[in-house]
Amino acid sequence: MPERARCLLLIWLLAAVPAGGEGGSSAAPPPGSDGRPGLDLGALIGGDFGASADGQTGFAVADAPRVFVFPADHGPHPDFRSEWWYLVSHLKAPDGRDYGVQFTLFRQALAPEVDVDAGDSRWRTRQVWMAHVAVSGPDGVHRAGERFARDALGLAGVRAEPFAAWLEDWRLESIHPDQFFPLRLTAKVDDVPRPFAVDLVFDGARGPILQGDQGFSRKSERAGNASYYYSYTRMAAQGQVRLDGDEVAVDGLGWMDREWSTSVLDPGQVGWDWFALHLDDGRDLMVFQIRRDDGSIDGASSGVIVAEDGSSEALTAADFSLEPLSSWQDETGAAWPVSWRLTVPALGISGRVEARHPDQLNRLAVRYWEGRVCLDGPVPGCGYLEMTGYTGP
Amino acid sequence: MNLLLRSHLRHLWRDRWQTLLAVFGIAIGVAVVLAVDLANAASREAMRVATQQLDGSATHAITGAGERLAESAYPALRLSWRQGDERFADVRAMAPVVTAEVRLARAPEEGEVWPMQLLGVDPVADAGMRATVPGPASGAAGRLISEPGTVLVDVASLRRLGIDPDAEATLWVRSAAGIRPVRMIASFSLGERALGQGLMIADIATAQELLDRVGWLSRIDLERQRAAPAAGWAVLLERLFPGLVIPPPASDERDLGGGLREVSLAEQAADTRALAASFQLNLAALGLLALLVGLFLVHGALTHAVMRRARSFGRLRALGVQAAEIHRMVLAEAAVMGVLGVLAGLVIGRWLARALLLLVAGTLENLYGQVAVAALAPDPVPMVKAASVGIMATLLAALPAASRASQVAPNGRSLGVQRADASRRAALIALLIVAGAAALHPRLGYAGGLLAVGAVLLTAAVLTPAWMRTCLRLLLDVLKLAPLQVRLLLRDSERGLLRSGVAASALVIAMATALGMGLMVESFRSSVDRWLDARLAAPLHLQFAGEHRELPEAVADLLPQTVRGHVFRVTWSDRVGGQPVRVSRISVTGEVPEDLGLAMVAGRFGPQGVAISEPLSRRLQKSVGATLSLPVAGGALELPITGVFREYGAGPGLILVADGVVAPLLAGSAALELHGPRGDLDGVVKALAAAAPEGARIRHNEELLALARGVFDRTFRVTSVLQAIAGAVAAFGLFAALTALGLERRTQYGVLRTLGVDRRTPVLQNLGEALLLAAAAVLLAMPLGVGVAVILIEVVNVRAFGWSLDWQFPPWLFLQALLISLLAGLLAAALPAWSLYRATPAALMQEVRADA
Repeated sequence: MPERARCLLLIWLLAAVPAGGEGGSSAAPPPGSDGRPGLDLGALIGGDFGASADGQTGFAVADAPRVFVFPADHGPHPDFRSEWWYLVSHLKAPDGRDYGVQFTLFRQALAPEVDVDAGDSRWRTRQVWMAHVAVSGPDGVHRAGERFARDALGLAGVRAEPFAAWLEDWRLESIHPDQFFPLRLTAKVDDVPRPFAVDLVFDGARGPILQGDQGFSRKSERAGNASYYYSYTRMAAQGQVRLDGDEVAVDGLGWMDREWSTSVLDPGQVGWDWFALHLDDGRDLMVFQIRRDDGSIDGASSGVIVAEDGSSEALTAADFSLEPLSSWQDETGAAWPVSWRLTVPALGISGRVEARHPDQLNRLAVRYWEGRVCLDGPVPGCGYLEMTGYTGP
Repeated sequence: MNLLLRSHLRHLWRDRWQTLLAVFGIAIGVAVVLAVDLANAASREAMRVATQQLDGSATHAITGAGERLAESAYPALRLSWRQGDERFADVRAMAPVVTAEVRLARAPEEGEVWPMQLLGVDPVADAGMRATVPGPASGAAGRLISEPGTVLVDVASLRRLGIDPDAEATLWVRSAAGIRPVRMIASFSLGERALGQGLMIADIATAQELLDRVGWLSRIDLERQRAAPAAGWAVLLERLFPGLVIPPPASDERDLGGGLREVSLAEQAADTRALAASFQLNLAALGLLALLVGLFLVHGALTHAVMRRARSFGRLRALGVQAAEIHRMVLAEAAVMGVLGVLAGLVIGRWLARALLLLVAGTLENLYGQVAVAALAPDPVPMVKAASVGIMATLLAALPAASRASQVAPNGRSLGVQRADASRRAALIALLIVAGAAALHPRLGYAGGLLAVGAVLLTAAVLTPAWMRTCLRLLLDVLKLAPLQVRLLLRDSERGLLRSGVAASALVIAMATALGMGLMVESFRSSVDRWLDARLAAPLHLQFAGEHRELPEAVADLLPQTVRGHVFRVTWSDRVGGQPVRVSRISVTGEVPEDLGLAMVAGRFGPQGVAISEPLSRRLQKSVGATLSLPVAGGALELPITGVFREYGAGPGLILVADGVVAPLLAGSAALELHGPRGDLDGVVKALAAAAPEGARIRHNEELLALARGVFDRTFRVTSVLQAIAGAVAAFGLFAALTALGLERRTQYGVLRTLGVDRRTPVLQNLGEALLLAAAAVLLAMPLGVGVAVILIEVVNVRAFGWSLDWQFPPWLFLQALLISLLAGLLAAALPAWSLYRATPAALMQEVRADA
């Protein structure tokens, strides 16, 4: 899981160039993308694979445990290359129909610093923001929208206190100025063929759970390949979802992740499968595996189990197993495993994890699968599955 | 083989030189029509491509007074769009733009510079709107945003400046804000058809800083769903008819409050096209003129062929061939010539277009500051158009000959040809006069003026043979006692008129056009000279760098001791009544010329209202006394028009507004005119240079005058070239006609030579006849040329460009026309004369027998 959002960001950067974004026409090939160092996309991320670990990019590096200070750490850490505010929730309407909501705000620094003396334009920045909102509803309905903005003129940003994370009118913010929770998420997605909207309040959170070593989360054996990472694994969620003209009152459970770092994935890693489940016995389970290009599972795969009292225990790759059972094929021919066998022997957790609907694919500048799943087994539960890196023939 | 066809082919072959000349005449005409059309199409395409590159998929733009708005409006508008503001219900994308024309150079000091459009965008908001802007996720976009002063430049512009497009480089950008360095981090291609004006893309922050426009946007582009793309038929019509601009449907400019308004980019593009359309129509008219001259060659060739074959037609009729069949046969003959001519014309036309294109492109750039193209588009429409025009016109030109042929009686004599010709000619002239007068109706605009010019020229053509005959008869009457040779010459010339008359018509058309245009150009030049002298009367001009609202203090403090008077202008761009304008706020201090040295057409420049340029006055159809809605910060001011002044630019209209009328003040480029320097001019320059802020440029009026005159000279270069082509076609026509006459008369001279006439006589006769014809033609061409000039100056120029001109009649222009005509005649007669001189009587007699 630590690498999840980072990978997403990387894939955004990589994928957006050929894809050019779903809404607009295909972007022109980046001028000068002729393979020369320093001019094309490779320049932006090329130095990542190695150089960052040696601290040569000029960005701050997560290289040792740190003391987390709240609410300051809810705000941005602009000296790190990337950062995200990530929130999913699985919800039910009074009539029993179920819904899912995802909201993610990404910050990406384009450069470690900017020459502020060059001029006094208020547009000058080195930060770019991307936000995704997705809602899935009954009958296999899944909608997703995305927006981008630069960090200028208040178009997008995150403020630690009182907390607010926004991109234009999509907002996740504290309701009370002096406390982080409850949080309210409001987003209207009107610029898609079938508009949708969410308005949810999250409260009663379990956390913050500091992941890894007191929030210092190693990604590989390489020094500096790590992030600072904490989560709120269980929040009570309540509010409205508007989908296809129906405004529905919903309530359920939410999960929030916060992570920032500078180092990135190994080039051999092609994608990941990430599970976050709220178990019916009150525990929260997260496991993820990183798939390598040779078909093997990366040793960096790991997880966490959080008890009802908020105590947590890290899981290593050896503690669990994930086995795809069946797949759903999208229009490009990519097969997404939507049914899995999950086993965590030491915790007594095992069973099938099934997607509530096979097509919960976010067809955005980055294509990835993000949707509601439920675990069927001795200890049942529901939550979210995220899959990336599955491509067609 | 069919009898008719055989007879037909035999005659074509016997008259092969004649046929070839006619084919060549058509070819030249078609070539010029095609070349003009291709050049026009290419420049239109360049404008379309440039608009596409600058606007992308944007359909509307929000802007404010002075074509700028405060950047704080952007997040507010964006948020209200996102929150479902009704006004933006169908908006798909919204992106801020900071743009300006700049010049790119390799080095900061003077040197070769290249005009560029600097397009400052936010690549994140722009994503997908413009193909030339790198996607937000690309490395190029990342560097543009995060590295100040970085730009992308199009490959063609870099090559023009000799810069390696594959390596990063520091370049220099010259703008109103001064000269600043930029880092070119990558290049991009604008496609094969490189534009005259380059494109430079920068992040919006860099653009603001480069242009000294921090806090300001040029506009906010909107992509609206409901904006329908231009209808296909409208595009095709514009391509078929030069000068035609079909505006997009209803105007939907709307006031957004707070001094902001939304305009349709399609409408702006149509306005821009309209500016160039009149120039393109003038060119097309010149192209058609060349074709017209070519057609007289066809007409002449066919008429001659028909006359020669009168006996043969008679025989055919006696054999039972129907008149209608003969009619068809002559038309078929013309069609063959037409097809051959058109094919050759298309080949020559494409070649000619390449040469013409550079001239057209240069003129459009000079006149309108518009981008122009350096390569032809592979476009079938102009080819098809030129071909159809060529074939149809040839058939039309052949009609008189065909009906003459079909009227031949079985005995070989024409039936009532003379009478019919005379009355038909009279009817035709009457028709042309009526049509020409009708074409001058104001509703027909400048196109009507051009039609009237066409009517005058055609009238001249129809009149020419009769005019020639009258001249020759008059001469015969006067020269009754002249030697036999002279009288022989006159009689021979008169007899030859049936064929040489057509060539003379072509010469009259060409000369009248040349003279008319010459008079127009001379009048224009002298008007411009006088206007420039008055406009640039101040001995010193100071242009400030960057944007200003007020006269910089250091300079203001210095002025009272250095000059007796000064005029300070702050100028910005805007749109008024849909027309692009430049608005100058004027403040006058001390002794300056009355009305600022403006040549007033009506009223005065006053402190309470605005004075507008003559072309703008005509485009808006508003003059002194009317009110004009002038956009200012936060809204618009209704101001009375107090004066209209002459202005010879075809670009944006000019609005002058006195200081104190416009408040709050808009910033713009600033310039200072200095009148009546106290003491030594160099001393004044030195003092000013020391006081003026960095980047200010002080120039003497001589320098500015030379620059301005250069621009106008370049503007008329393309006109002179087309004029020369029309003249050349006419000279060629005369040559063709006289050559044919000479060939025909060889038998006659053979007889004369056998009778003992020396070899010089036929030569002199030939030359004399040519000179006579040329002199008579030019005599007719002179008054007609004046007529053409009247229409060009009083109708076409006024309606197309809004310029009024002072008449000029330079005598050398008339003398030149006479000399050129005589020279053309001499040249045309030289070859047949030389051939006659060399031929022996025996050889000539042999030809007589062969002919029989």
